[in-house]
Amino acid sequence: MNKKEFIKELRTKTNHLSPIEQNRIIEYYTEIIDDKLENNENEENIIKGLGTINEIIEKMKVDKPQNNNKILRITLLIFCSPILLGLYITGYALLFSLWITVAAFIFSSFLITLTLIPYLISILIYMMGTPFVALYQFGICIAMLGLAILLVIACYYMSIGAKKFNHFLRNSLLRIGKEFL
Amino acid sequence: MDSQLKKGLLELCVLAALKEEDSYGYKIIDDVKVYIEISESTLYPILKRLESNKLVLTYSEEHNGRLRKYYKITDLGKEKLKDSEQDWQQIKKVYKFILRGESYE
Repeated sequence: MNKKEFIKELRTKTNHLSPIEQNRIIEYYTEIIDDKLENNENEENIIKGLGTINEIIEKMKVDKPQNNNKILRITLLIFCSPILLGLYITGYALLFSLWITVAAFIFSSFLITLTLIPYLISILIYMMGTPFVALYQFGICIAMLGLAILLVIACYYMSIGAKKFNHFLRNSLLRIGKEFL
Repeated sequence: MDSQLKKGLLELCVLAALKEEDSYGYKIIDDVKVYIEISESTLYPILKRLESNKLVLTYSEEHNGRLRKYYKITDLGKEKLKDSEQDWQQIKKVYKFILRGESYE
């Protein structure tokens, strides 16, 4: 058999495939045959070396099952997408509000400390006049400062949690992408 | 070689052939057949699978008045090659077990 006959038979026997698939196969074998011819191999020997067309078709078939799987998965994804979309929007909204809370806590702690320090100083001055009132206000100041410290500590843990949640969302999104696309 | 073993190795071999530079069908077979038996009809589904799994991408370039299809390994493909090193370590261990007692030359 020569190159022309080989390609012709290949084309006939791949007619059941999609035109894209068929052309891909024909281009593949044409290219290889041409490369071998360029390498000064004998045309008949080249064709013989490729095996029979039936063998070639058989070897391609081994891959088919994978395709069905993909169609099913993509269909599933399309049906799930409204739910998935809702879930991810909620997830990211939660994450966003978490970060906003962290920012709010830090900001308020900052403000508390900012206003309380001068207040503390004025209280100390106050001490000389009315010690009990001053003491009471001093106590409140310390409590507020304590609250500010607690808020900052809470922020630290919240931001760790937020980062983990973010990772979780990203990874699950990536995994879904890998599975279906 | 056992056909089951071969199947897994061939994909990695093809990826490895693209490790240093992009290549095309004929050349890939030439490079790989030194190490393991591979035919044109075996290579075709492998390349198809690699492409659909985004381990390689393709482009065409002109060569002597005809279009040649080149294959290029992707970052994902490079990762797969790197990960296969762990398989290699495990294979060595397993074969030590399988061949224990035999004399190695």
